[in-house]
Amino acid sequence: MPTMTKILFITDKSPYASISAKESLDAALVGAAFGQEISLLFRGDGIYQLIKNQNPDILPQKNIGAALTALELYDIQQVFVCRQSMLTRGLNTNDFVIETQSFDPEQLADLMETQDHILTF
Amino acid sequence: MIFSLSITQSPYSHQGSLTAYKFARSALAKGHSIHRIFFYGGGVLNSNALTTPPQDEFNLFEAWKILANDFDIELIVCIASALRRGILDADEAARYEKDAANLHAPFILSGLGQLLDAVIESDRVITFSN
Repeated sequence: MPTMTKILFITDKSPYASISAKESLDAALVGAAFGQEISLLFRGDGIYQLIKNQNPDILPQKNIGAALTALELYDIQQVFVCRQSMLTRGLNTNDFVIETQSFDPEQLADLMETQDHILTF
Repeated sequence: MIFSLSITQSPYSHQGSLTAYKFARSALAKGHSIHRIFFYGGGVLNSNALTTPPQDEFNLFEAWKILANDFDIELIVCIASALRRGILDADEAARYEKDAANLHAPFILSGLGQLLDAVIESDRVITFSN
């Protein structure tokens, strides 16, 4: 059996200003469906994809927060958030729809080092 | 080294598509190979056959076709991103009963799986997202 490729998806786009958030999530889910070891990293305005009680129906757009709860079904458990991006937006991990691990910007290089590939959106 | 490229923003609105093209030419000139170029998000607009820039401007659409044919590079266009943005090949145009198709070979409509397959098959995947 071929070894799993470790792929980190990095998203720094807000959930509804463009379709980028949805497209990065779609790509990550396909990666998981391919049986690869997928991690997600939210930084910058990408943090806003995670917050609870999103109500994009009035835009109208599909709910990214609700879609993120599917990550567990795809066995994607490594979800990272940039602590600095979170704090500067007045948020903490209790505000998020899924379990996340915080990391400091200086730890980013270490995280990247552990990956075979990194895809940014 | 085997590269694949992912292009996620539309040409003309963003520099990324042109930079990706220049990168591809440079990598090939240095003896590397390009396995696949995957057009995702707004990047799918690179494949629009109706693209008609002024004659005194660089024609990126034609340049992609020449590159693909000369070096046997796959130009894969994400079908979900493309349909949203009005990029259809003849099959999709017929399926959705549209008047015209604007995606032709060497561009190929396919799924996101082709991006992940490129990740697995290539030494490096470079994303051009701006």
